Amino acid sequence: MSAVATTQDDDHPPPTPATAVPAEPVAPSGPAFDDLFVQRWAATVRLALLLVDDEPSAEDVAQEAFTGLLRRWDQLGDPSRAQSYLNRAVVNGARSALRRRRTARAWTPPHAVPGPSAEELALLGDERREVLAAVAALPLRQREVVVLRYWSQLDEAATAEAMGITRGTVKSTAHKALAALHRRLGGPSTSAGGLR
Amino acid sequence: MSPTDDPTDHPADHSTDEALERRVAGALSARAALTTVEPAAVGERLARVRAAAADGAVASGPAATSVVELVGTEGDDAAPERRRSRLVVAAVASAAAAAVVVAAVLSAVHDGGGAPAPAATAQPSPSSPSYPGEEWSDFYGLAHAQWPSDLEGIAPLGDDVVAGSVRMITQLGRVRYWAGRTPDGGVCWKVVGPGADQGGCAPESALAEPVEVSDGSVAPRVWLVPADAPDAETEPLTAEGVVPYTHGVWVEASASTPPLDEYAQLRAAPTAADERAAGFEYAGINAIVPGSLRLLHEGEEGTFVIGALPLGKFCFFEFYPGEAGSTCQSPQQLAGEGTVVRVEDQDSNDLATAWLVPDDFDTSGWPALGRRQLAQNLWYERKPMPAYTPEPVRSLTPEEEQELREQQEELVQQASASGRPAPDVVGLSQAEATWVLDRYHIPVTEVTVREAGSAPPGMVVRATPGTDEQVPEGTGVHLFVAG
Repeated sequence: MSAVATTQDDDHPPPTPATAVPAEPVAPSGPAFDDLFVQRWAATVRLALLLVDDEPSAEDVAQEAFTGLLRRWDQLGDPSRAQSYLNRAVVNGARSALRRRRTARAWTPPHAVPGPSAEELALLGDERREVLAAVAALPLRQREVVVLRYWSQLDEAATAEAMGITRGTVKSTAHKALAALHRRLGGPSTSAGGLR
Repeated sequence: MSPTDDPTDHPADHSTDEALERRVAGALSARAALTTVEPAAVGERLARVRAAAADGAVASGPAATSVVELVGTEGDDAAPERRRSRLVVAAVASAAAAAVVVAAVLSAVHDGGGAPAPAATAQPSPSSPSYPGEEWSDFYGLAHAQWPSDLEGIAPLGDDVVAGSVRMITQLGRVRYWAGRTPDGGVCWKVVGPGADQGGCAPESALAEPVEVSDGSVAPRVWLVPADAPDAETEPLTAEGVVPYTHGVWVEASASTPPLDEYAQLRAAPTAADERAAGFEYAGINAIVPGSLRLLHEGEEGTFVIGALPLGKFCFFEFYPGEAGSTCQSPQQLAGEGTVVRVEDQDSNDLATAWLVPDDFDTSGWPALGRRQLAQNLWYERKPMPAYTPEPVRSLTPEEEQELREQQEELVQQASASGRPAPDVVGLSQAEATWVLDRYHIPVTEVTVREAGSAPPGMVVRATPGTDEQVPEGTGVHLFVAG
């Protein structure tokens, strides 16, 4: 449980308390938001894809993230915070998507769970398929750390912010994830240091 | 990835890690690169985002007071669904795990019931952890030595689990919830009570997130919640009226009541002595369920008072001339581990423990252990403190070094954060919680009235910082109250 008092719904994270929600509709933002959208849409979809496996879900998660960002665009203050917001919103949106899907899995055979198509898998090659399968088998939080650190190239602090956890938890989660990947992929056991 | 700057790490290990890191980064990049985005599609998506944002903004409004009313979740398209992560649901994610579920459900047919298993069956397996309960370290309310209530779960859970890992998650009313770990780290659970007899298993990965201990048909609902679960994962539980009970265990607030009828002293009508106990001044005593306060014993050992909290825990109060103490614990802990009480003779090196036990609790072997009954439902023991024997000096493994380093970091953070730990106020009314916090000299800084499922209106369903978490000096606790 977080030690920080909050009134926000972390599934859809507002960067400001509920008391600061504007009374009027958000003013249409200018080209700045559009530019950011064009620049970051594909990367945001890809980040979501690595967390939820299938492209339609990833696009929905990305769209929700940008929608939330636009609603709070004028409250953002520092535009450089936009990327942090998107990271956090994608992680939370992916969690929600997976939570809904997990309920559906009670009725769905495992092989029908959304994932890369056969054509996509063929393009990846055996070695990468094996790695991706190992990443997909990680507990959700470990998978998030791996994707944020190794694909988004976030440092420990930014990963912690995106996931809504402490840096210490990022470190220990990353350590467990690497150890699990070592075991799964047949490599030697991981060092004491893990991710840094 | 960036190279380490940690001088204690070993270069050979780095090459191993870095090779794996490169493999992972390469595979993720390749997977991500398979997604192509058409420029026209970007424009269409941008239009959708603008439309959705405009809708949401019109719906929002200001909150005028410091008490914030949260009546719903904006944009939460999962709201109609019950957001749950049942063990059974998680288990079918793989065919192998599904097979384990079948085995567990079949084994559940021959329910072992309430008879305690022979102590011999509770011996740790060859793969047992290095300290009792270590396998439950992410749910540290369960990370303790096995109590009698835990042993009762061994037979119902059967051979799929390591006997030494079985713990009673909780007992609420007459419904008992147990879990045990499989040799490969998975978990199996069993719920037994009036109209309830079910079990299941799930792989270890399921425990990384909150999981429900039943198929959802059992009331009260109980969840296992890992210690570092972020608010995003526990928020849906709060929204459904499921609240923290012990560390790692959350329960449905509206269906959790104290088991008063299992204790003769609590079933009996209050006496004049009990009325006197109600006048004692100590943190927590105001939050006791009306009519449940009993003066169990008054003698040279001390004055011992018991009272029930709304969610089913008991507070054990001890009073001495000029001094008082209290602890609020689950009935299972007070019967299994007991609570350490003050020794009147301060010069002695003795350790005194008191146990609160229900009427049907098997205490037949206790006199031989030096324990004596002070009153109905109350046992006591005083014995010399065990001598401290240091472990032989040896080198740490790299894993132990890493763990020690992390523990030291946490301790340094805790020590450097000036403040005090928060008491448990979940389950109390706002007024009671404020009163208890005041006795700990911790202010309430904010109150949020919110949707909390079936939780009784006015009940504190969440507090941040939570129980035993540090409240930094100059700050306070934020209470979330069911609306």
